[in-house]
Amino acid sequence: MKTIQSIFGMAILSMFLFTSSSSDDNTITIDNMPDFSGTFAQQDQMGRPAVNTVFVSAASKDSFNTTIPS
Amino acid sequence: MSPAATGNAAFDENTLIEINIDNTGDNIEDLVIQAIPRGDKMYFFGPVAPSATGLNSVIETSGTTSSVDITQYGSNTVIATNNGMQFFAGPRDDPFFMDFAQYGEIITRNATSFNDPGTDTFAGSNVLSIVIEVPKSLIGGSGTINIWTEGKGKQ
Repeated sequence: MKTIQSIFGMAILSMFLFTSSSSDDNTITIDNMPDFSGTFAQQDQMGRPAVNTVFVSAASKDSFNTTIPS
Repeated sequence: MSPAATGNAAFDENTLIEINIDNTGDNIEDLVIQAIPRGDKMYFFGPVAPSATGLNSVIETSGTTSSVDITQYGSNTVIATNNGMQFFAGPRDDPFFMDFAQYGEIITRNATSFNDPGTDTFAGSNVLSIVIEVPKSLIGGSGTINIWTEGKGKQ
């Protein structure tokens, strides 16, 4: 769906450029979505208030947070 | 966080919030909903089957993409809707409550019980919140659904 929308948007933009612009700049950049690249690694178990705070010993708190919650 | 600190608080663009949904009972996520801020918006992806399960994730940009303007402190609530889902991101009143001062008195044996009514030590404190409402039909499964949430940092 996103691709279709992008193609459609570029088509409209192309029409506009062809009909109303004499610019010889052929680089068209459409940047309507931010950068979402990269790998994200677990650093915190969330939505379980006080479990780590109260029930996990000090030495194990970091490893608790990098353990799969399930 | 205190009211004084709330206005300057912001979500971190390098932190991905991932809600994991297991609808088959094996404690492995079958669907994820991901939330990550960019600029003054919070973006959401999913529910979508993740390309990898477990500790490391990539943002599943092939999933249903939604976004909502992050509500500023003291401003009217901004809620976005997409594909039957509703989204909110911004500061909310922290629901956690406790009479911490009286707890300390009890622990040190200066008091024997909580007062009625007590004093909520954390009244007025806020927490940056992400709220998502999802129709059951997008979660799948007909029995028990297991859900857990992770904060994941960009590597």
